[in-house]
Amino acid sequence: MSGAGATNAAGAAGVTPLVATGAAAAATAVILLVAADALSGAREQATREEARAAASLYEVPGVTEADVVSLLDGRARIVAPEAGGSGPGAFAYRAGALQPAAWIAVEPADEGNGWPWAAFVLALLGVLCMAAWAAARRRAPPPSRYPAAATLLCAALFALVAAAAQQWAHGELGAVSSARLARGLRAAGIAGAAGADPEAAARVAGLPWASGAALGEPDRIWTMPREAGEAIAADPQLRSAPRYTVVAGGATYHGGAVALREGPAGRAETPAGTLHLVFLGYEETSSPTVALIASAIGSALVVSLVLFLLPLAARPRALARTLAAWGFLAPAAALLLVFTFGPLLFSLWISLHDWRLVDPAHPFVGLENYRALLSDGGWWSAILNTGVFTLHVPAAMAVALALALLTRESRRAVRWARLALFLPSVTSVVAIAVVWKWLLNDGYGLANRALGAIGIGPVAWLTSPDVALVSLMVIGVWMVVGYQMVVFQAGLAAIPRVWYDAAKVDGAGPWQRFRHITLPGLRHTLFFVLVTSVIGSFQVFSLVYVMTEGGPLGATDVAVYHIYREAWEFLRFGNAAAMSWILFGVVFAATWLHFRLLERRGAHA
Amino acid sequence: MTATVVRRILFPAALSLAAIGCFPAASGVSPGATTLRVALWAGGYELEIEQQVADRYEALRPGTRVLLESAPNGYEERLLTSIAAGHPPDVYLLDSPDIPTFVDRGLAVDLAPYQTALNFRADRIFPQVLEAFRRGRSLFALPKDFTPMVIYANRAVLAGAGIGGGAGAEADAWADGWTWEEFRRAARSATTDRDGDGRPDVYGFDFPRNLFQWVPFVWSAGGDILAPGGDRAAGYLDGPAALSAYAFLTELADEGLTPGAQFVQQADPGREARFASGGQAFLLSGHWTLPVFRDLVRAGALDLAILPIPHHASQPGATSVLYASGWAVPPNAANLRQAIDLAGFLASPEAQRIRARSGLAIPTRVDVAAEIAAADPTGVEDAFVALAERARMTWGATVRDFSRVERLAVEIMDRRLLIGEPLEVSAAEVARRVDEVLAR
Repeated sequence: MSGAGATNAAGAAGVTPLVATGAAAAATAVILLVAADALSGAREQATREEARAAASLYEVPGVTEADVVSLLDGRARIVAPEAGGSGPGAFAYRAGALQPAAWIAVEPADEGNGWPWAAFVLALLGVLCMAAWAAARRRAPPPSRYPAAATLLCAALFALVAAAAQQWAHGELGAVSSARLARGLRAAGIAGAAGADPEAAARVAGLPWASGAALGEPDRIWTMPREAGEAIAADPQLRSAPRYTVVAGGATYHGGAVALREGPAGRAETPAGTLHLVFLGYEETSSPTVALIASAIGSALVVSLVLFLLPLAARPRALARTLAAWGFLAPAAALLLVFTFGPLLFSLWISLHDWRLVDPAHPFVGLENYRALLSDGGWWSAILNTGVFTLHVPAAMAVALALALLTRESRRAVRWARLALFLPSVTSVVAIAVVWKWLLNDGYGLANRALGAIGIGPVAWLTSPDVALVSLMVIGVWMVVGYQMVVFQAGLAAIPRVWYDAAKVDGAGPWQRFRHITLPGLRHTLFFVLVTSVIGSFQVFSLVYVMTEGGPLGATDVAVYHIYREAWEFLRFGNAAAMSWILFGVVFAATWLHFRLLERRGAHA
Repeated sequence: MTATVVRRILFPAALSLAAIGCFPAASGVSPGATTLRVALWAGGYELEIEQQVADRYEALRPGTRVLLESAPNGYEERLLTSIAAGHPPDVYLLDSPDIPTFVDRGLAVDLAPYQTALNFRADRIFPQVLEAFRRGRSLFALPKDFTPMVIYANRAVLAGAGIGGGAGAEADAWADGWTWEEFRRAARSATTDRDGDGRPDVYGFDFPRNLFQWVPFVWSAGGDILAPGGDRAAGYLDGPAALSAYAFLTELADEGLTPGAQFVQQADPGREARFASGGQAFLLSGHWTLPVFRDLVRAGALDLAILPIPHHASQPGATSVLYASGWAVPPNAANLRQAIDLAGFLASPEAQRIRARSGLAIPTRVDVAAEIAAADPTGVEDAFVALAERARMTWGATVRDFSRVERLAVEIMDRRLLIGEPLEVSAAEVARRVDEVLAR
C-alpha cells in the first residue's frame, strides 16, 4: 500500500462509526417523521371536516350562527364570503343556495399532545448500538457476512422504532378520532334539535353512515354497513348508549346515538326518534401502518447499503466504480421498486383485506380471501381452463421449430414467408381477436363458408363449450409461432455448421442429425421458449375478453379474465388480489418444475 | 470542440426543455378560470353534441371551463378509479344500472335541496325515470335521457313475407299490443331460405340472450325475476311466468327463426346491418339504435315500425324495461357548488334540446320530448314516448351488484341451448346462486 493509500484507509476507518451513526440517526428520523406526518395530516383533515360540518349545519333552517360557533367551541369565525379563502375553513350556504352566504374560518384544535418518547429512546439506543457495532467492526472487520449482519441489525432496529412510532401514532390518532366523533354527534344533535330530518342531521355530522331509529332499515340511503347495523341492533346496551365502539365485519366503528325532535310545522313529517351514527375507525382510514412499514424497510435498506459501501472508502477507486455502477442501475432499480415490487406488495396487502374499490372500509380479513377461493368452483374451473390452454405451447413450439428449420435459407421467397409468419407477433391482439371472431362466426364466418363449400357442416367454433377453448388454442398457436420461429432460428444459427458436416461424413441421416445435433444444440433456446411461453399462456386475457367473454358456459373462462371480472365487474379487489397470488404460485411452481425436470435431464447446464 | 458544443449548446438546451416540461402548458383560458371536469361515455357525434352543450355553458358562465372526459369503453372502471384515488370528476354521468353502486356508497350528492336554485322542475320529468334516481325525498342525479326497449319491425320484410296483406299493414295493428303467438307466426313467416341452400337468408328475430333484453318478456308474462323487495330470486327467476318466457324464446331459436346465438354479452355486430338490409324482420333494441337507421329511413331505403314487446296471451299488454342516465355530483368534487350548477344546466331543457339532435335517447323532460316527437314526421319518436309510458325501470337501478345477477342469469337459456338442460333445472339452480349473491 502506498503512503497516500494508507492515509486514506486510516481516514476512512476513522469516519466509519460517524457515518454509520449519522445514517442510522437520519433513518430513524425519517420513520418518526412519517408517523408525525400521518398525525399532522389527520389533524388537518379533522379541521377541514369540522369546517365542512359547520358549513352544513349553517344550511339547516332554524340553526343560528351562535349554534355554529358553539359547535367548534369558539374556534370558528363567521365572516362575509369575500373574506374567505385563507386558512382552514369552508364556505357556508343558505339551504339550497348555490352562492355562498358566509365564510366559516376554523382554527385547528389543540388536541393531541405528547412526544413519542418510547420511539425516541429506542431510536437513541439503536443509534448508539449501531455506532458501537460499527466501531467494533473497524477494529476487526470480517470480510464475509458483513452486509447480511448489517442488514439484519438495521431491520431489527428500525422495526422496533417503527413499532414504537406506531404505538404513539395510534394513541394520538385515537384522540383525534374521538374528538371528531364527539363533534359529529354534537352537530347532528344541534341539527336534530332544530327539527332537521335524520338524513339532514346525518349529513351535518359529515358521517358516512347513519341510521334511523330502526337500525338497518333497507330503504334508507344513509345506511350503515350491514354488519355494524346488526351488531348495534343486537346489543341493547349499544342501542341505548350515547357513545360506543363496535367491531363488525373486521372493521372498527365509533358511534353514538342522537335524539331527534319532531320537525316544526311544514316539516312535520319528520318524526321524533333516535339517530344512530357511526364513523369508520381511523384504523381503516388513516392509520400510518403501511407508511411506517415501508419507511422501516426503506431505512434498513439504505443504512445497510451505507454500511456496505463504507469499507470501500479505503479504496477510492473501487468506491467510485461501485457508486458509478449503482448510479447506472439506480433508474432501472427505482422503476422496478416503484412499479413492480411496490404494486406486488400492495396486492399482497389487498389480498388480506376485504377491499372494494370505493368502500371507505377495507377490513383486515387475514387469509379469508384465500380460504374462500378453496371452495370457489368457478375459480378452479378457470385455473383448469388455463392449464388446458397452456397445452398449446408444446404444439406451437413444434410448429415453430419445423418452420424455423424450413425457413433457414435466405432466398427472397423464404424471407417473405418469415415476415408473414412473424406478422401476428407484432399485431395488436385485440385486432387479431376481432378479425378471428368474424372469421369463426357460426353464421357468416369465412371458416364455415369454406367448410360448407367442401360439404362439411358448420362448426360452432366459439359457441360450443367443447370447441371454443380449442379454437382459442389454435389462434394462440398462430399468434406465437412466428416469434418462436425467430428465436429458434437464432438458436440454430449458433450451432456450428461443421457438426452437421461431420455427421454427414459419418453417415448420419436427417433425423439422426436433428435428434443428436439440432435438439441438443437448441436445449437452452427450447428451455427459454418453453418457460416464457408457458408464463405468457397463463396470462392470456385479450383473446378471451374480445372473443368469448369466458363463455360459452365458462368453457373459456381463464384465470386472468376471471380475476379481471372479480375486480372490475364485481369490485371485489381483495378476492381478485388473492386469485392473482394463487396464479403467481401456480406459474412459479410450473416454472420451477421446468427447471427441475430439465436440470435432472442435464439439459439446463 | 465536441465538449464545447455539449457544454454551451446541448446542455443548456436540454435544461431549457426540462424546465419547459416542468411547467403546465398554457391554455386559452384566463388564469383565474375554474375548470369543471365532466365524466361521460359519449363517443363520435354524441361527443360533438355534448361539446356544444359545454360550450353553451361556458358562454353563460364566463371564467368557467368545462372539460369533457369521455370514456366510451371502460367508463365505470375509470370513474371508480378516479373517485377511489380522490380525484373525482366534478360531474359524472350515472347509468341506471349503476345507481346502487354509487348512491348506496354515498358517491353522489343529494341534489334535492338545490332544485329551486337550479330551476329544476321535477314535475316536468317522466315520473318513472325520476323515481330511479330518487331515494325517499333525496334526488341523486338529474335525469339526462332514457329509452325503453322496443321491437323494431322492417315493414318491407313483413310485406315480402305476405304478413297482413302486404306493406306490413299488420304492424300498425300490433302497435297497441300483440301476443307471443302473433310474434312467433310473423317471425316464422318472415324466416325464408331464398336461395335454397338450406340456410335461411331472412330471419324473423335474433336471440335475446342477455337479461337486459329478455327481462321484458318475463314481465310481459305477468312474472318477475326478483321478489318485490329485490332480495330474493327463488320463486321468481324460476317461477312459472319466467319459465314460460324462457321456453318461448328458446323455441324461437330451436325452430331456426333466429341466427345462432354468439353467447357473449356484446351484441352480435351484424344484427343491425342484417335488419336494415332486409335480413331480419324484428330487432329488439332501444332508442340508441335509431340514429343508425335514420339516414336509411330518410332515403326511403328502410320502412320502420316501432312496436311494443309482445306479451303472453294471459296478459292484457306488455311491460318493457327502461334504461336511463342522469348527471350526478360526487360529494368530494373539487368545486361542489359550481359542479351542482353545471349538473343543473346539463339536465336543463336547453341542454336537452341541443342533445336531442344526436337522437340517441328520449329527453327526460316531458315537454322537450313532446317537442321532438311533434317535429318528427315519421311518428317514430311518438311511438317511443308512448311505449315508455308502459315501461318500468330496470332492477339494476335498485339492486346492488345487479351485474352479478345479470352474469348468472344468462346461464339459464345458455344451458338449455348448449347442453340441452331443462329450463326448470337451470333456472332453479341459477336462482339459488342469485340468492347467495343477494344475501351478501
